[in-house]
Amino acid sequence: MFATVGIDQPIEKIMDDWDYLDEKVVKKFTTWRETGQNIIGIRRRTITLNEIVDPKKGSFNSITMTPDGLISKQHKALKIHITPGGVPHRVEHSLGFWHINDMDELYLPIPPRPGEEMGHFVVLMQTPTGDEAESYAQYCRQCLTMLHEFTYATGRLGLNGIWRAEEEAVRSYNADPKNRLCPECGHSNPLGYCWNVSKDSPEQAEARLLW
Amino acid sequence: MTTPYTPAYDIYLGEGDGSWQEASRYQVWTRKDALTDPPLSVLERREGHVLRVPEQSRVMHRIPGGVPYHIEHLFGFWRTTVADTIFIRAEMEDGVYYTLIVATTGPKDGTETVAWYCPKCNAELTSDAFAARRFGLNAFWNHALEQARAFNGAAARTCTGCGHTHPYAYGFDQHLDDEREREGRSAW
Repeated sequence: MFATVGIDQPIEKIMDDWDYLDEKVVKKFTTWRETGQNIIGIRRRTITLNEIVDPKKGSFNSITMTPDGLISKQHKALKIHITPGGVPHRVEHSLGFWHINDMDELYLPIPPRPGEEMGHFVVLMQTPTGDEAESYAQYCRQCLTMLHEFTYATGRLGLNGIWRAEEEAVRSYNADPKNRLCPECGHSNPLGYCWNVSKDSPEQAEARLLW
Repeated sequence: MTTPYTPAYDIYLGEGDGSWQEASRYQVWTRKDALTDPPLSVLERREGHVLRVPEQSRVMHRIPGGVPYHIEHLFGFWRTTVADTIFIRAEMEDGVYYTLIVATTGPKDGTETVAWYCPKCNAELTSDAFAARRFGLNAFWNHALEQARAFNGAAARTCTGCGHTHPYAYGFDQHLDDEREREGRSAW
């Protein structure tokens, strides 16, 4: 009915990046990209109604730390999962630390188009401002005592510094074996590692297989 | 008074009663339609132009805060939010899955508006602002329905500039539609 005033032209004629799932556009979201009021990441993954598989890291299982203990979540197609701000969470074999974000994180796995192999794993996060921050923490795998925490002031320092911060968090934790020895129960914990497998040392690659 | 601790929210696309869900600081709406149903097509008003987001099998589109938008057959008015809205359309073998996501963080100030424009000459017919951040999402949709019903009964539906009569407005929840609103929902 608005044809009389124009639906003057298709939006793609005047606006770039109107569809984030477009092949040419989606590449911009392979890590994180600040877009309007959100930070968006879109990963190509094998996505089925039963599971999500990262070709380099295997099945995508997130773990959330709660007052009642650890809760494991199986991500699967067409299920939105939201981790509220402040809740420690990690992904087995993908994040070698616990991520504690002031901002909520929303995950939406979209299955592949017919004839395609990979679907789109969409991750949204609200853009932090002011004192809003995130941290990379280590907890004892035996008794959940916090062993180490590295905080990055994302709101003040910006999104561009998060990979360096993550690397520094892992480096500083791994640097001293005492950090990995739990002062409460004496358990010796494995090394931390970064999200990006290409940053793994041989020892970190071993740790990735372990946890 | 205690606040329940919720360490995670799961929302299954296409399930539920079709209402908005508030999960921590996100508002999420999702619905599964039959492949033969009329598409929920996004229209945006930008610099006086009406633009349509193409109805592809897969779309993830951001409607920026401050841009009036209408989703055909979903709500019968132009909505402007303070926050960005993410629209996702995923066509599958068993139907079309629609998702809308709005973050409730972002700009602290600002109001949501409900408006109608003449489809023929583009003139604004009427609009109304609502403090959704203060009163909440459910109150906004109730208010929008009230405004739609007021619009349907008012002379404002006829454009004073060109004389064109706007089709009936309607709210978000189709189960609340009266006869005029059902007519409006199928028209635009």
